[in-house]
Amino acid sequence: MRLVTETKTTPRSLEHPLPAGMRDLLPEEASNRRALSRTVLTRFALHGFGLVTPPAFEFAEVLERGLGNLDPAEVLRFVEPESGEVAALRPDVTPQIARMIATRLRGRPAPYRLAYEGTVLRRRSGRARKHRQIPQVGVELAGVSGPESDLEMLAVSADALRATGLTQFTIDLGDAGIVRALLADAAPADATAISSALGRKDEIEVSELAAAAGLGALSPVLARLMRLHGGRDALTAGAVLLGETRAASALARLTELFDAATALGLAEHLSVDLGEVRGFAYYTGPLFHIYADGPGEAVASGGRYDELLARFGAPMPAVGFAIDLDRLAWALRTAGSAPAVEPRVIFVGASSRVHAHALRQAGMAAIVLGDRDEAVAYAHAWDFAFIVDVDTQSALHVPTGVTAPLPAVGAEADSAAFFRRLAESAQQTDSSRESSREFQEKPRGA
Amino acid sequence: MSSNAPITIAAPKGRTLKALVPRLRRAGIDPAPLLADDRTLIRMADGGQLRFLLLKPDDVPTYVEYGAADLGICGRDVLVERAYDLYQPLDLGIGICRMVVAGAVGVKASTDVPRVATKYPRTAAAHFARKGVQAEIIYVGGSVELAPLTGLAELIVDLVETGETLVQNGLEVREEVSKISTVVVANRACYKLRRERIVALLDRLRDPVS
Repeated sequence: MRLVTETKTTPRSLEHPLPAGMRDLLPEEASNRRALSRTVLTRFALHGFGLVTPPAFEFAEVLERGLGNLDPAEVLRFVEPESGEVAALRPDVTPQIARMIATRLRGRPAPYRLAYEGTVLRRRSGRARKHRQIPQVGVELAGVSGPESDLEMLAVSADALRATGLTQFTIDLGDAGIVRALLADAAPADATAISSALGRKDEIEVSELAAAAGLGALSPVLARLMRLHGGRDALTAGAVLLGETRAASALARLTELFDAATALGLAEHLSVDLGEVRGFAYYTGPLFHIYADGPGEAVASGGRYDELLARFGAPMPAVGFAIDLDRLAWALRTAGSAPAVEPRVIFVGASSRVHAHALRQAGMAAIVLGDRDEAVAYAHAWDFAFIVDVDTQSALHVPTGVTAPLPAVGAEADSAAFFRRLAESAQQTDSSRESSREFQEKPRGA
Repeated sequence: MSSNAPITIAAPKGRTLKALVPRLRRAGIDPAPLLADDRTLIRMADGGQLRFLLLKPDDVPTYVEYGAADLGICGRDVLVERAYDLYQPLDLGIGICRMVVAGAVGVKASTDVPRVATKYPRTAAAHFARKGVQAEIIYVGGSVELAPLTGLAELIVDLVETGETLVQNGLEVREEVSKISTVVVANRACYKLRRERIVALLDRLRDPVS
């Protein structure tokens, strides 16, 4: 049985418009994002990363010192009235952390293990699907160089993603040092143009640009590099191609990281792309993007940027990565991993308040409403799983219509567990009757 | 990772699709489903291994960028104009033409700031900016050759294949902006998640001569 109350809704969103790219998250989505970030931050904390909260905007001059590979045109700036200086809404948290390390945390011994959660803001570029606001969680590990810290980033990111329920994902490794070494003699403008074409795997343009820049001898190497992606075999082939070049040491470093990650049990997730150069100007060593089915873009990305801290006067090596929560939510949705939703309960009838209070004490959300009809409508509109009629001592599981008697009075320590169990068994009964798809995709507004 | 699902290819309806047919045949892909004269927009091919979406050419990169299609077939003109964030792992060497600046035969630009009519405003603006020429870019959706004939603009930036249309309208090529051809584009995530099958397909499509 499915109780559905018709509610007439007129779209009103356009009456009070938002600036392009800004958006609200309504309860279902907001709680889903919050649960995701809580899960991820808990894993970060277990790996020893301390949470910091940088401000929403800063002086542009300070922030933009550490912009990395972000186009300056993407930064939202305004004149801060207090100082008359230009401020920027943070387009990236990493420079803020770099500033913190260089200033307020300077007295503390390295390494710095810091985590953050926050929304970064960027001007919408012409490309599709670029939000102005991007919710991120990430970590930075500064003051330690060497392969262990690169490996730690891979381990922490994989651990955090697994904790959210994502099992199928690919960590695609690269190393900015390979192309940096190969293009070391090119004029900066040529290097930028060539690396941009490399980033698009545009073989014809790469060879034309290389020839125009007087680097024709490099063309065959670069062309081959773009196709060297895949598993461990790509690294072996890379060793043959790059063995005699200046990129040999970067390749050796990448191979070492790949093997160490394999030894760590990440083999099923690993791939490598020797021609991957996105963030070429920013990253100085290993870099990675994590992909999963669904969003069509990386769920997470990171790498080593040993030159960033120096721009804030505290030269030291650093690695980090950030997870895009919107894309992660999309990937989880595609994988069919529905977020665990804790049931919420509506009480009706005499002494409802006492029962609701007891349930809250047990850690479960509860409200009190006047009568059953009101409760049914409200439960459907706001996703409450149970309606408990205290007078008849019965609990109705709203999504399935399954009714069960309440347990004996006085067992309030178990009351939350009772509803969790009941929700689970009601759903199992229900899904054996109906198609599971219908169950997962509950009609909106019903 | 959805390894058995067909590879989805966003393909442009019309001329480019026809030009693609010999290449598909050579790759061992029967083009018959693509050419079938019906109105379905999704066509299965290669024994269910490939799923073609038939789209307006300008929409191809959008489908690929969102990951609604793994691969797409489109002209470099669209990619350059809209700066899509896509891999372009294979140039098909078909649909070859040139992006050029053209003007009326024998007529010199009269103002310091020439007016330029084009379907490709960003490409045109970037071209003149590179040359250090300030230009007023005027967007038009088609029949660009009309602009210099009516006084809307002195110059146009447009695609030219044989130059016949220019000649017929009393226009001449002043300079070349870039060479244009048809390429295979790939969504970055799909390319990495379904690498083996995509690379195998690209190898089949790659011209053995080039």
